[in-house]
Amino acid sequence: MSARPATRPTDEAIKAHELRLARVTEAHEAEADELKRQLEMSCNIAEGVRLPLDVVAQVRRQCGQEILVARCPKCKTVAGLSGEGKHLCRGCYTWLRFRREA
Amino acid sequence: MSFNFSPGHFVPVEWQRDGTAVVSTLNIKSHDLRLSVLLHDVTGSAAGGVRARLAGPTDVQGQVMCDLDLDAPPYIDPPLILPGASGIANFGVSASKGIQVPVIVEELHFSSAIDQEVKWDFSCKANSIAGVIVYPAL
Repeated sequence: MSARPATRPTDEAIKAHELRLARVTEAHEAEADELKRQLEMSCNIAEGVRLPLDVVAQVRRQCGQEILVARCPKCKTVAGLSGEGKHLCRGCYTWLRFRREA
Repeated sequence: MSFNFSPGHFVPVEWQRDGTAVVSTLNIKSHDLRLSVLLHDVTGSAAGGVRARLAGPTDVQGQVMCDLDLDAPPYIDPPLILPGASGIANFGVSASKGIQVPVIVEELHFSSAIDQEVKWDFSCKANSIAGVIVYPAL
């Protein structure tokens, strides 16, 4: 049989123990919050990269078809599309969304 | 997963010579389009022992193979496909979609043999003076 402590812990000892626990919990919560913040930030960055950049494209006619021509705002590579839509810039690999000029 | 494949026998090549509005649909046998870039080697001591490369200018090489129809040979206008002629070639990727490339004709080639029909083909390379590369919209 295990021996039971002869005396009860003092009130100070209990308070000190609770304070220690509170500090540890607080530190863990802060760490979890920071992790969540960083995860959200990386998600936003990834989303920002994936989201296509809107570009206003000039309407031209080539080979009997109406085409949209635009310059990548990041790297200035000129690209053409057969209509409005997404295009991966071959110069800087940024997703662009071609919008017809008004 | 999608299964949106195209049979090749409906896929045409269109040709518009520079300076004209006429677009000729070529009765082709086959075609071959290569889009490429010049790669600059930027390997340095910080590359971790692995080759580092940078994309240079986009280039295009294309070849179109046809049987010779004497009522529509390549040397009459249209299509007037002659060495040195520039224009837009629309290389089909399906019956209705294609990749338009501005090109200059490098070589026009005719061939004939016993037990074979008379054939012609031309090869071309990128020429940005003639227009812009146009991809089918997504």
